[in-house]
Amino acid sequence: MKKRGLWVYGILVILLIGTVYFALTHGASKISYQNLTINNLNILFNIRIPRILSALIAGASLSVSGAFFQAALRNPIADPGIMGVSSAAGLFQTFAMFLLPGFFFGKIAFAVVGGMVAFIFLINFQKKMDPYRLIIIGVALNAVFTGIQDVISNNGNASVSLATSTWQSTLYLAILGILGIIAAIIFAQWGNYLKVNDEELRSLGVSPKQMRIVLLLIAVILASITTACIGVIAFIGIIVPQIGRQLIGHDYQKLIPFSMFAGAWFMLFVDTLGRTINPPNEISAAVLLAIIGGPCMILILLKISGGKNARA
Amino acid sequence: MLELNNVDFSYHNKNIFNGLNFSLQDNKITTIIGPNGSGKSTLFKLLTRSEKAKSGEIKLDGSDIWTIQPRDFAKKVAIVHQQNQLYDEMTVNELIKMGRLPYNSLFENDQTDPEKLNKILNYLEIEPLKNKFVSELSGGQQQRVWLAVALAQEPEYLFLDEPTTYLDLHFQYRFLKLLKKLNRDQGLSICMILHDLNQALQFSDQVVLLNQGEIKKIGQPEEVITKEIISNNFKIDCEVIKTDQGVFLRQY
Repeated sequence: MKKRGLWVYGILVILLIGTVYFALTHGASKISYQNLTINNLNILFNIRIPRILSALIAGASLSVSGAFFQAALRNPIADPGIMGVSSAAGLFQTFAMFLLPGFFFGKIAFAVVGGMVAFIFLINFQKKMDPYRLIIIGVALNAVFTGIQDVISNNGNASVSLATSTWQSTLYLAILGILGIIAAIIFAQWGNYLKVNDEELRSLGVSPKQMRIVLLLIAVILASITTACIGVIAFIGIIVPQIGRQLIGHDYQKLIPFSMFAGAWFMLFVDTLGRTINPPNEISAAVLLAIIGGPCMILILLKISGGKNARA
Repeated sequence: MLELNNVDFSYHNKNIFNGLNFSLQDNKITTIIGPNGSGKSTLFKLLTRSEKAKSGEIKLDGSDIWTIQPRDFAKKVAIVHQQNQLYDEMTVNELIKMGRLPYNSLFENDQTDPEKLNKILNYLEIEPLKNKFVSELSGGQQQRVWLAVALAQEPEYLFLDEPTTYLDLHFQYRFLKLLKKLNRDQGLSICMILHDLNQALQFSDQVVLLNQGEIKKIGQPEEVITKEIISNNFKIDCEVIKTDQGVFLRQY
């Protein structure tokens, strides 16, 4: 397994370097070392580098967030994007645009508050129902928050995406996202503990409730910060940890670092693909991920209903 | 010493226990028996800190169990639950290490002395399974793995809630013999709920008969499992047969 891990990380590093290079040089205008004009340098430093950094950190944050959602809610298809956390964060961020225009940190703070609102709903429903009914509640919450957001956005509010990344948004995302990911690495072992049922955990002298709340808080904060900076992106939090389980196993101390690296690469890959397929037109990363993520979610569900990973 | 003093307990405004007194014999195997709804599971939950008594005291070595830190309690009292569930894949080794949680930091699960765990794995004859996923094991093997988790806690008291429910006859007896061996070899105090009265006769040092929230009889198995007592409390016709191999209950 150790040898396999080395291979996986080796391939990931090569993919990361290759994709970063491609993303730097390709897009609406092609840039090479031979034609580094002032205009091209401006595109590189003010558009592409912040966008690439945002994609890397957002991908890492959302994948780690997804892995923690799955651990805490004991559900392999839990994800902040489909459970209403990201859309709640997006909605509250829009409120901040009205109330505190021009104050970027206010947008992040409001997004985190929005994420917390969805979190409080989820944690309360989590006590009462099984993991799959909880997902349906999450989908319903998502629909409500997205609906309100759409009404407000139609009244003239521009939404954020990776395409709108600036150095300011990238810097906030980098600082807060990296802090969140460090916290996730520290608490990764708790994901392993939550594989065991609550009754058994209590008889081992630990509090499953406390563990669940801490993991969900980290996951919600990571997802909310990302939403404030690049908008709502679903499915990456399901796809990356699920691939991680197949490649490096179910140990969260390995799965969280994997999700971080693989999520960073995957988001950059999807974003770069979306803006280089048919330049200067772009397909947003959120749309591409939905196209890939929907079937992926169906496959996971089919595998679970096949019995091997049946969960209550 | 684990004891209940004058304990009252009610559930949804229905009184389950009124002034219950009971103490668990140290270094012995105590079996709780009784018809459905007699309060066996509630007594089990009270003793293992899963439910709080309305009034009265439950003391472990002289201290109220609710004043003891959860992890300190887990160092003394281990529980094998009737139903154990894993929500994701775990190897036998990873799961057994969780039994060391009361002793270890919550952030690092790898400080366990491998010798200690190997000793438990060998004792329960599951050493060859240690790198397998728990989901791949048979019911009997899984039950021994959960017992190994409890033993990794190095407890003084081991509680088991109907430990033979999901096992076939072969594994039921194999498991109960293992418990007896643990009690004899390590002086572990064991308390379990059993439905099979013949198993209670064969494997217990003390039997507690509960019915309608009262301890109807407590004593050695042959004193509690008699024709008259069992007929009255379980509403069945039965006889107790004494042979050279031991005492058996036959019901008809």
